[in-house]
Amino acid sequence: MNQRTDKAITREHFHRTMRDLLLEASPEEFRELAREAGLNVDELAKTGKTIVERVVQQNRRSATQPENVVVLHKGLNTLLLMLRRRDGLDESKLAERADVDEVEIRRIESEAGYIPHPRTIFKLEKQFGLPSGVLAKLSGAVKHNSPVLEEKALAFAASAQSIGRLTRAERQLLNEFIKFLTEKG
Amino acid sequence: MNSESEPLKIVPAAAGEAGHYGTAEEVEKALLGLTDDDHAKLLLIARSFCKSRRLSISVMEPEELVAEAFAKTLQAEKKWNKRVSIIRHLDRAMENLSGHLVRQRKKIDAFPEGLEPSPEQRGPVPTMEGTDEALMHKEEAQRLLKDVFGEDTEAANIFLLRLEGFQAAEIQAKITLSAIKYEAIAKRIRRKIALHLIQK
Repeated sequence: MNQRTDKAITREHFHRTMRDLLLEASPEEFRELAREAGLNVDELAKTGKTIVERVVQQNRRSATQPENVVVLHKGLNTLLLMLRRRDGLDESKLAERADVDEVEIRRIESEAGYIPHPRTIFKLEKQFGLPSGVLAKLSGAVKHNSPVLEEKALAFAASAQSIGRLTRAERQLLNEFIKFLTEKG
Repeated sequence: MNSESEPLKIVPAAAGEAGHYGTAEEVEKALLGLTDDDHAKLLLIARSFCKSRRLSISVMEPEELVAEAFAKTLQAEKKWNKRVSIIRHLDRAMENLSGHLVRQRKKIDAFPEGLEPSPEQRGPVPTMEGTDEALMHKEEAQRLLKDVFGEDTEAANIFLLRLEGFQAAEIQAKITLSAIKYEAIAKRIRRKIALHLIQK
């Protein structure tokens, strides 16, 4: 091989160049490539379209939601994710143990405008050993008029990480937020 | 050649640049206007990110990565500069999102539950070694080229010129290739890349 690889190259740059070249393939050429590689373009396209339509709908819904509901939902998304991380459960394990739909768990965690079913909230509170109504306050199922709750939910959502086990600081943050929801929220 | 062969220039945001960013309506229209092939390309790329960065195990599935890139673009957390095609913007958004998850996972693995990093520990971690941003050793670059292009040195050499930032017309002039010959090699390159992304 006589390729010139003397210049400094990063993996990122290498892979980017590969992807850029792939993106240059015309539709006809891409279909031909996919066929050769055993990929079903129509199936992938169907999945992609379903995803984009879902995300666009969610975004439209969130945009029309009152600001305070979106803020509370962000707190709910983060709270559920951290509870799962605390207990070392992935979405499917949690769904199985709490007897709820896994898709709904994913949606609660990823969609700020998603309104979960009351049964799901009840089951999740039970699964995590939370006082009744703690999750419901954030889901929008319980009416409230507390700007402090929104402030706390927003601060909580902003300070959490998204994967792995909880750090000591995150655990403390989680406990404080649950205490606040139980006593004052 | 289609519009994708235009050189990609990442331009930092500056005063007066606002007009280059897609509005909420423009982003939505562009996303809903993605063709079947665009969707297939995006999912193929998402799969390769998830595989190469080992995200599929309880962190993120390719479909979620694509959804996240759509959502962040719609919410303007990843602003779409309209001078870049929407599909290339989404590719960079997925690269960025998956890279962030990898860095986060490295941090968590380095400091397990309950063990907060001390100021001394914070210093050397994270390092660039082993990350996508790290410079590749010559041997690694050669190995990767061999992995993708096998014995096709013609394709590998043109790929290297692209890697150095040369565009199609410049490469043709530089190594005296006709447009037809260049396109034939480029097609071979894309075929090998597609196979590599699917298999790796």
